[in-house]
Amino acid sequence: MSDHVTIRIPPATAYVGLVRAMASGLAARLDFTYDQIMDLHIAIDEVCSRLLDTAAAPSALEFRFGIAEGQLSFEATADGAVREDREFLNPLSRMILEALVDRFEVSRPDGTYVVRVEVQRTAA
Amino acid sequence: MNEHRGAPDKAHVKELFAKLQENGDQKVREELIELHLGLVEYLARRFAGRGELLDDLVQVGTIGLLKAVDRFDPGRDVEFSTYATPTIVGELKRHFRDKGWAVRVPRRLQELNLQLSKVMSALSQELQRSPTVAEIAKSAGTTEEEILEAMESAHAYSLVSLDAGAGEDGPSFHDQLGQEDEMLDTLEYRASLTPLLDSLPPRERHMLYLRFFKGLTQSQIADQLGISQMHVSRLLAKTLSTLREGLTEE
Repeated sequence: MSDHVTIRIPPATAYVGLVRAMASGLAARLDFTYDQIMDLHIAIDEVCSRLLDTAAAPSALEFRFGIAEGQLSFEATADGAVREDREFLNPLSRMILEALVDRFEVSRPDGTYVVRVEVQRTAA
Repeated sequence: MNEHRGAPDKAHVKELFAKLQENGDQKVREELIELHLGLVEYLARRFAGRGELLDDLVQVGTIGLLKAVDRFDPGRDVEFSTYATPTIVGELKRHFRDKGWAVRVPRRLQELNLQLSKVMSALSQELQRSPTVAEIAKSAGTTEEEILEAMESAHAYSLVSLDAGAGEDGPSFHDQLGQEDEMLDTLEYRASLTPLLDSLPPRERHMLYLRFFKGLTQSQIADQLGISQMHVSRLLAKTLSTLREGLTEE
């Protein structure tokens, strides 16, 4: 059983703060620690940055958060076509996501990238 | 840094610039920068009270100072401080112009932010782990929403350049760099990341190493470096954005 909350933002870094704020709010509900929330912020920054970099002319970014007992997840996508000349996971994004989240997966079900990220609650 | 308040000796500054021009000695450059931090602080104070912490303004002003040191032509008949002042002020003004929307953090939040730092280090000590938002709110006597808002505003500060840590890094970071290099060598994507990592200031590089390669938490890093958790978050966010820019520029 999990609840979902979705946010769509214009494709600009100025709006990424809204996604971070929503993630914080949801993570706080799940009793995530401050450290975990700050890590989550960095992960979201990275995912947004990769989505924006690899999308041709995106009209929006969408984050769909899933809230389950002790776990926060999200699926993120950019609307529109993908730039085939750019790889989604560059060395930096791999390094960041591997270190900061419990699971992540990049797929292309309908041509566009979908990033799925999962974070489990630790202590508290 | 405090011993460098007041105007530096003009003849000495001239001499240092002559030396710097001659052999590009980084130590001389650093000395020049340190000598003029008082000037930066003086100028930064003029911009205080606009919704920015003085420390952050000093960081921004220091970037202007670095530019001025690197561009100054000692052959010209002008004092360095005269030359540097408009560059530093320009950097501060540009900062307010560029990031104005992002950093105009209300006073209430700024204060909460400062309080948050204190509450968090006390709580981390007590709990021996990073606190949850509910725990922070309870301890700070405010609501979870307020804490979340303050956390987001802390992030707004991360847009501020914090990479001008000249003179701040003790030898301890350098001591560990050898070990870090070994670690970085094992990375499959070493080739593209190493040059970028090398270009970072030692403290920021060390922080990345601790978080991403050694798996220390942000609180543990804060403890180890003797700075606040929030400062670690800001520096990490800032450093990663520098790296991102570097990678996409290729």
